Amino acid sequence: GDTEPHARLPTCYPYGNLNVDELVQRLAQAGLADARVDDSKEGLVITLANDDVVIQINEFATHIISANSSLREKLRDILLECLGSF
Amino acid sequence: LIMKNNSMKILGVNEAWGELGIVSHQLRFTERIEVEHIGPVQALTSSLHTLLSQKLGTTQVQVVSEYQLSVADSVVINIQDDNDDPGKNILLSWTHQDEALGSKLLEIIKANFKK
Repeated sequence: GDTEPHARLPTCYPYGNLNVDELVQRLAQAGLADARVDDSKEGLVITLANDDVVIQINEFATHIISANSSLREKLRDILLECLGSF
Repeated sequence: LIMKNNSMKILGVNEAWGELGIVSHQLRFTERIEVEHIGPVQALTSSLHTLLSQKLGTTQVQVVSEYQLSVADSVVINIQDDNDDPGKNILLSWTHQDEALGSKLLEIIKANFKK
């Protein structure tokens, strides 16, 4: 039902530095070949203009901003492949 | 639970990072949901507050401002006025650790507000 308590346990804990070159390569393999990487004040920004996605990356965090759930899930899985996790 | 120097201990996740000498990498997601809503942003914030309180329980949903709600002290919802009235954007933001709650909220909001 609607009132059941939601699960708060994450499926995994990602760690380590993100290799941006590897990420861009994996995006291309997944058919997202238009990734543009720019420097910003806070780190790097990857823009996927065709899909209206922005990915902000710094040493400790990655932020995916999108308007498409299935694409977000695909991007999340690609990111997790590029990070260590337990 | 971590094993180190032949001893075992149980630590919170954040303490364990330090013990293991590795740096956690936070994943955050923000999903934009375009909605059609006539009237001021505050009215949309208020109707979203009512809906989510009904679905999750009133103690779970906090009003942060006229444009912002937070759920269970973790998921943040921002409401933006699109210049193109009656268009508005709901920005739902959560971390990977709160994936279950984040995707549940996304479903609820889409089912009730998506144009």
